[in-house]
Amino acid sequence: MAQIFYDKAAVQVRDLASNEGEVLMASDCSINFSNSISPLYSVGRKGPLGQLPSGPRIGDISFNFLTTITGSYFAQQGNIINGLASGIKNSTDSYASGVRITCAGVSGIGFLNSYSFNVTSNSVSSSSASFTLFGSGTFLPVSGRLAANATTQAGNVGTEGARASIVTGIGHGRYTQMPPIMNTVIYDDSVTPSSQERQTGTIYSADYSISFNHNPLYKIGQEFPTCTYYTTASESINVTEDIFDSGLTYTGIERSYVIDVKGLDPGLASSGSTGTFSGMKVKVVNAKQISSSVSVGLDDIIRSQKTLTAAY
Amino acid sequence: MFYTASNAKLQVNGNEILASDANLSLGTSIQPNYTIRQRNTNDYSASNGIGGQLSFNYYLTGRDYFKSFITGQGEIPIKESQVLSGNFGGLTFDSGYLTSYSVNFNPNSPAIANATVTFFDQLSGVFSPTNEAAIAGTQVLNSRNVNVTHYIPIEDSTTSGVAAQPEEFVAGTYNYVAEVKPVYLMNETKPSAVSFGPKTVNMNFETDNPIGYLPIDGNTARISVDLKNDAEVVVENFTCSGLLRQRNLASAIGDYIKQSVNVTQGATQGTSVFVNNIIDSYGAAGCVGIGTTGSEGNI
Repeated sequence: MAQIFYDKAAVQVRDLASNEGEVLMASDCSINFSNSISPLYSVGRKGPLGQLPSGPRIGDISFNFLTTITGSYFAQQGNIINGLASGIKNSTDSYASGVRITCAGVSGIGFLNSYSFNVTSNSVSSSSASFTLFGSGTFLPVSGRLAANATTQAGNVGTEGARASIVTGIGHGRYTQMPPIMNTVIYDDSVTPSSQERQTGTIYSADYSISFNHNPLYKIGQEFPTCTYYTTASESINVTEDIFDSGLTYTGIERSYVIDVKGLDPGLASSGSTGTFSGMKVKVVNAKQISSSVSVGLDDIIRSQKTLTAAY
Repeated sequence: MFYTASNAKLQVNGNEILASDANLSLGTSIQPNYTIRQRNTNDYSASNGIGGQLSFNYYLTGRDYFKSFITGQGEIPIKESQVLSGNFGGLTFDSGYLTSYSVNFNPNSPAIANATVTFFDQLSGVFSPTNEAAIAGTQVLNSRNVNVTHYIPIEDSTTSGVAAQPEEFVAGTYNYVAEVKPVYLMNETKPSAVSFGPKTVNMNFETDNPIGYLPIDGNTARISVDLKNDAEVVVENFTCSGLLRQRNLASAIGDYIKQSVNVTQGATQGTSVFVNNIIDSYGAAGCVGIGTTGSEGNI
């Protein structure tokens, strides 16, 4: 029996070391599992000797979800993926342990590949995450079989017993503001320096993304990796504004930004469950602008985009 | 007329090789003849015999035919399989010698060996394309099904590594190199004999537990790799038992620290030579040199 409707196929992410977990408000989820079987040919013969493995089995899981901001994971406000990303990028330890991801009874130990979310004016923020499932030792990358969740997704989503706050605990562009230093500021060269005309950009939206590089260590005599190392991460924010930054510098200007993603309930922003909660924070450290672009289409204003990147 | 790889069968000593690629080269040793006060010449002459090399990669399927040449070729007592004959699509040679052989062990990859046969002769025959189907059900060994046993000292002791942190073997190679030189007599273009030089076996393996222990005179070390088939039966083995010769540590951005060890073995003969017993003139077994067991030592 595998006729499972989507309301019984929740996506859960759980860290096995700390046992912290969250059922995410996923809008979709896909799991892939593949091996590396390929045909082997020999000279002097037509056709393959057979189809044989030339690499390990590997899986991946990716899903989109609403940016929940009311949880607290790994001492970080926000959803568990945000806490995980924050923990990995600030980690000085190379050893990666991964988290268990389960969807409709199928699960695997995954290593965060990428995480992104967007904040647009008057829109609900959505996030996406993808994990690579390498397996470990004798453990398969993907295991289990399709099975429905005991309760519907709406009944067990978010942190335990926190359904009341879910409605207002979703990131939204209405109250979310980018840090003021993220706005592009330009000056008019045609006037004297003492009276330079200053223009400050208006931010319409921001897309945040971070990607991680993991390095599984395979050895002979074993299919799955002995261990997996986290190596580097790269982070970027694509900001849409109304000012074209023609003053892009050769060496770049290094700045740190704190994005504070807030929901629709301003009261929650001031009180919060922990008393100090003001939204899901993402700190981008020592970012530099690497590009600036502008485009215009029919029935729209000219919009510019700039990309800020940081590396870990 | 062009042909595809499936039209040229590769055979060595009549045995078909399941090669993924093959390279047959043939060359002369022609030198230009210059005279005094001459910068240009159209006069050439051979300075050595003709010869070539057959190099190929092939899949290991079980007991490897070429391994017998590592221990047998050029050794005494002379075995029957001293000389290799080759046939590549109908082009043949009959005076080949195994000069290099290597096997790569990479995680989750088919075990592939590389062999180079050097021959001192012209190719004979004509290219005759074949059209045959592949051999069904061929089992190719995979590095996933291997077992590595070893003795790699990390200090001057008889133990290998640290018990709490047993060595992990990531990848490696088994290499064999032999020096074979042709011996030409007067009026010969095909050597009547060859002389065998040193033969060396070494194994390079990437391991964990970086350490710098390496005595100046080496240290005995041994790496042995068992390859198993799908039924988990050991069907092939590669062993290098010799001296620990080299350690390498390498690091690169985005990668883990890699340590590799090199074990070299100079003796490749299948049997060890040792004096077992001396039979004296009366037919009795005795020591080496009568009366040498005393405190004065050997006389």
